[in-house]
Amino acid sequence: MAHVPGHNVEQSGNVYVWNPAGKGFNPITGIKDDFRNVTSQIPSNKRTRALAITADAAPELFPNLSGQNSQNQFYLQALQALAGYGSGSGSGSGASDKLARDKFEYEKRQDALDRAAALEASNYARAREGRVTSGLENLYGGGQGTFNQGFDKLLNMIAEQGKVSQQGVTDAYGRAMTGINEGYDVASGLGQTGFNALNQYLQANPNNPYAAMRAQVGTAPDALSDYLSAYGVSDVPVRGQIQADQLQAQQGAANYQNLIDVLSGVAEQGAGSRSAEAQMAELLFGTGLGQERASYRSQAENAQAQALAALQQAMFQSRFGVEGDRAAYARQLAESVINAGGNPTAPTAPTAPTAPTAPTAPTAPTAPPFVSTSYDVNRPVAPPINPLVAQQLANLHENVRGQDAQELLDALNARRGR
Amino acid sequence: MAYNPADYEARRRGYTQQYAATGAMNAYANFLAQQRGNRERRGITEQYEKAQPQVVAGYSRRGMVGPNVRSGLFARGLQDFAKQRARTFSEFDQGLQEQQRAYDLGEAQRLEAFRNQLADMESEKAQTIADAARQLYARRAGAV
Repeated sequence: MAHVPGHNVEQSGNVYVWNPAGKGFNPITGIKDDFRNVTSQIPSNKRTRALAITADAAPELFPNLSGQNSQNQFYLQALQALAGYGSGSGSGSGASDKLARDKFEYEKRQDALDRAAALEASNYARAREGRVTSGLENLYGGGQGTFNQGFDKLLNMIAEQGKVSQQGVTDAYGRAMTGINEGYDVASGLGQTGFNALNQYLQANPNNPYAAMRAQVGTAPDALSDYLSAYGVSDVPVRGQIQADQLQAQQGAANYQNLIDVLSGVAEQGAGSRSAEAQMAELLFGTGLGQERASYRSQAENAQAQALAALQQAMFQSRFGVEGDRAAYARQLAESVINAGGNPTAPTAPTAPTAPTAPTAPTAPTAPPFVSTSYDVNRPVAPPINPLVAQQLANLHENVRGQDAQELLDALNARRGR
Repeated sequence: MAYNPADYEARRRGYTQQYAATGAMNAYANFLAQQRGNRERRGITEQYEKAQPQVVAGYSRRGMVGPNVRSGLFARGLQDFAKQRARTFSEFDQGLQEQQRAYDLGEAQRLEAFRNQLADMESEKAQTIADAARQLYARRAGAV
C-alpha cells in the first residue's frame, strides 16, 4: 500500500482508502486533522484556505455556528476536496471501482461524523469547564466573592445574638439592682418601724416606780395635856419624850427615803441603759443593712461583669470559628479555582456590604487573597475572540462561499471604520 | 427567727396577768394587815382610857391627891402614865408604818420587774423585726 504524501488517502491496489493518520497533526492543540497551524501539507485551494483561516479565528465557536448538519457537511466537503485533490488520476469506470468508491465515501462520511461528534463533545466539555471556572472565580473573587455572604450572615447572627444577650444581662442587672434598692428601702422601713415602736414604748413607760415614792412620818401621839392639866400636872416631860420618838421616826423615814432614792437611781440607769441599747441596736441595724446593700450591689456588679465577660468570650469563640471556616473555605475555593485553570485574583462583582459587628468586639483580620505564583496560573492568556468577529466570520463562511473570508471581513471592517 | 406578733401578745398577757394576780394578792394582804393594826390600835386606846381613872384613884386612896392636895408623887406617876401611853402608840404606829413601807417597796420592785419584762420583750420584738427585715432583704436581693 503506497502512501500519497500530503494526503490522507492511500491507494491499495485499485481501492483508495481514507486514512486519517496520514493527515497532518497539530502539535499545539493535539488534535488530528486540525486545520490550525498545521505543519503538514494542506491541500492548497481557496476553499480550504478560507476554512483554515476561519477555524483559526474562532476555533471554539466554529462548530456551533451552523449546527450538526452544516458542520458535518463542512467536514464532508473538506474531506471530499482533499480526496479529490489526491485522487485526480483515478480510472474507475468498473463495478469494483464504484464499489470501492462507495465504500470509500461511506467511510469518509462515518469518519467525518465521528470526528464532528468528538469535536462537539470536546467543545461542550470546554465550554462547561469554562462555566465552572467562571463560577468558581465569581464565588471566590480574590477572597471577596459571594461565598462571603453566608459567613457574613453568620457573623450578623452572632452580633445580633450578642446584643440580645448583652441586653438580657443588662436587664437582669437592672432588675437585681432594683430589687436590692427596693428591698433595702422595705427592710429599712420595717426595721425602723420596730425600733420606733420600741422607743415609743420606752418613752411612754419609764420604768422607775420609786420616783414617786416618799417616806412618810406618822403623826405624833396625844400627850394627854388636857388630862394632866386638869390635875395640875405639867405635860412637858411627856412632850419631850414624844418629840424624841418622833425624831427617831423621822430618821427611820429618811433612811427609807435614801433606800428609795438609790433604787430609783438604779432604775433610771436601767431605763437609760435600755434606751441606749435600743439606739445602739437601731444604729447597728441601719449600718448592717447598708453594708449588706453594698455587698449585694457588689455581687450584682460582679455577676454582671462575669456574665458579660463570658458572653464576650463566647462571641469571640463563635467569630473565630466562623472566620476560621471562612478562611478554610476560601483556601479550598482558591485551590479549586487554580485547579480549574482560573485566576484566583480575578475581580468580581462587589459583594454585599459587610454586616455590622458588635461595637465591643474587635473585628477579625481579613485573610489576604490567595495569589499563586505557578506558571499554569499566571501564564499569559490569549485575548478572547470577540464574539461579534467570530459571528461575522461564520456568516461570511456560510454565505459567501468561494471567497477569502478574512479578506471580505477586512474589507467590511474597513468600510465600517473598525 | 420569723417575727410572730401573736407570740409577743401572748407573752404580754402572761406577764400582765401574773403581775396583776400577784399585786391583788399582796394588796389584799396589805389591806388585812392595816385592818388588823387599826383594831389593835383601838384596843390599846381602850385599855389606856380604862386605866386613867384607876391611876388617879390609886393615888387618891393613898391620900396623895384630893381637894387642896397635890403631891409630887402623883404628878410624876401621872406623867409616867402619859409617857408610857405615848410610847406605846408611837411604837405601834411605827410598826404599822414600817409594814406599809415594806409593802410599798415590794410592790415597787415588782412593778419594776414587770416593766422590765415588758421592755425586754419589746426590745426582743424590735430585734426580731430587724432580723426578719434583713432576712427578707436577703431574699429580695437574691442572696438566699
